[in-house]
Amino acid sequence: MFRMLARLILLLAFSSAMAKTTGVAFVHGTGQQTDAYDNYWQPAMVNSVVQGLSNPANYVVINCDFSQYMWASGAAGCLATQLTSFITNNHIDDMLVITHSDGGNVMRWILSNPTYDSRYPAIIAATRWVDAIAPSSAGTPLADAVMQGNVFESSLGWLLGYQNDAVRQQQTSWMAYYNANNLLGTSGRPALPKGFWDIVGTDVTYAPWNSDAYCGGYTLNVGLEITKAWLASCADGFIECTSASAAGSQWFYDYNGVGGKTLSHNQSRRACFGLDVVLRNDL
Amino acid sequence: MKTSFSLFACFVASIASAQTATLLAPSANDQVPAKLVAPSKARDMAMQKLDHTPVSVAHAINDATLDATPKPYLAQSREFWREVAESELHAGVKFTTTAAGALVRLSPVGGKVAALDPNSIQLRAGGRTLSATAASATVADAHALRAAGMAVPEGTLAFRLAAASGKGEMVIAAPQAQGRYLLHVFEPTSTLIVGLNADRDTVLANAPITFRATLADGVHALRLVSGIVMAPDGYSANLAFTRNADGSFSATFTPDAAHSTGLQLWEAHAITTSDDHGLPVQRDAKTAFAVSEATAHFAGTAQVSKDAGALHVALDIAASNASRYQVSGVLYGTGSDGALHAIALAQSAAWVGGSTGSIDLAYAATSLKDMHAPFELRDLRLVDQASMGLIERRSHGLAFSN
Repeated sequence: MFRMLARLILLLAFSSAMAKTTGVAFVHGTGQQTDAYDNYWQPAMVNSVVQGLSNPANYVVINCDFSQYMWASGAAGCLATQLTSFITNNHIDDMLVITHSDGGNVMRWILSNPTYDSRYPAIIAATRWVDAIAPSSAGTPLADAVMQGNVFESSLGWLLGYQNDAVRQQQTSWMAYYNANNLLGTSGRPALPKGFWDIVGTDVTYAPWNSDAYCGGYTLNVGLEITKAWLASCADGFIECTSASAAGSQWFYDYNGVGGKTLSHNQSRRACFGLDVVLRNDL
Repeated sequence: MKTSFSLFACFVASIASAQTATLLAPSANDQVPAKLVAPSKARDMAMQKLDHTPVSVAHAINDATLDATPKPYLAQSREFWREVAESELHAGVKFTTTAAGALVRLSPVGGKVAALDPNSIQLRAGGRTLSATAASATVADAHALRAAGMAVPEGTLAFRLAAASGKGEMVIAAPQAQGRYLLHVFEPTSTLIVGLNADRDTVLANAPITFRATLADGVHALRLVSGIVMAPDGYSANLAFTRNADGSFSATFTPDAAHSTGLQLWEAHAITTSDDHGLPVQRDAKTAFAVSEATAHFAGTAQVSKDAGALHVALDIAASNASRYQVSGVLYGTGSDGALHAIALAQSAAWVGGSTGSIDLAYAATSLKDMHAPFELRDLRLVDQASMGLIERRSHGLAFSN
């Protein structure tokens, strides 16, 4: 309700001002992507969402190395480069950013640290808001689980990055530090300069006889059955609901937004159960 | 309600008719460097990439629930990790669970990849011996776990014990094991939870930080605690935990900035042992903290002025050497109800080339609407952008009336 009201306020503001050029950016999660359009989001998701634009060509699918720390040149630096090019080349002055998982942290770094990089203020100024799908805002216990082993291995393993830095960063104690000191928008901290709207996945459907388990790829959901056991009861198989809701404002829990269905962590980046239409209508 | 915040960006403006104000006395939780230090070599390298152009931005905030008091993270553990050799796994590794439904993970370590067959792994519990497959409700290999986003090593095997497998003393054996493995046991429904926290989330180099391990379920007690700290560069040091009167354990450590690397955090790990019905229970916990170098501090004074309706607060800085420093602060003003309200967060960064300088926080006239003196600057922070290290933090920085 709040979001609908806010959207109406912004639309009224835009209609009374000069015409805006709206664009949308898709920001992937942990990992290095060179073709996130095909491999991370898949065409069905992207092509459906951009139909909500007056000019459906005004979109960019980000391809960066989010195996690095969020502030690193390959992460936030790369994201800033690609967003700046998108804004400049397409004359975008009303940008919606759709993030998934750790992509929310990288975007939140930019929103929170405008003096860190001279390109950040223009990106923030052009951003209408961020739709953060399953953001790992408070980290995930799964990152703690796989990083802890390094203590018992050689220090060389730690030094050389046995796990990638993004996994290390998403440990719960690390994200608690960054939220308290380097990122805005969590409880007790100043708000972000632009809206950061959380879509929260609450459960995983993995039973082979349930057709819902097959959206987004059944094999991707099978592992979530056991990873969910590491997490609180409300979780999408990778991110707990408390983490996905930790920064910004809650937009909706999956079952409230996609017709009573739940979105696993893999399904929430795919055109599952009408999520693409919800995002399209938000443009 | 979803609102559209304005972001104001401007270069440092000339200050007319400034009034000098003095910083408030720091509170107990504030971090204020006592003396400046020369920067480390790692910081010097990062400094070469820094921009010299000053930037000042602010955005309005209207949140009444801000809290500038640092709250160190409390890690809570229902799990442990143990590295085991193939000879141990051949003979059987004993461990204790305190609740049914434990998750057990075996991961090859040291670069060797020797995946295990769950049918060949034996679990002995309650006088029975079952294969991991038979004893478990769910089994997943590395492929499935990685597909789910869990970055486990190749050859990893994880299984969740069925409720019928019970709890208590268990033995896991893997006759086909080759090399070394990490045994990770997580008990999601256990009430035996070990906590670990630091007394602060950021510590200045060469100042002490204290860690405390607790077990406060009213039933069990910590018997033994050991630990280590790990620095971002791979350096590690033992933590000497000692028992406190309340049954918790504490250890103090003094970090050396030479092992810091930018915004990467240090970690403290506690490996604990307690008893459950006479059986030893292992719990491992970890928490993270940052180490900063006191390369600058607030000099104690600020110049407050208004320029075309905008409010400027120029904070005086003393530095041990040149760098790009970042200052931020939340401006509070008095509303029509006579109470202080958060108005805006300003963030500014500028190059400080000598031993002294000044960084200006600018609050736009539009954000000051309907607010009047007295004003306060809270959550005042000073960061060295060469390392992004938090040098100084004051929950209440400045109060002024103009």
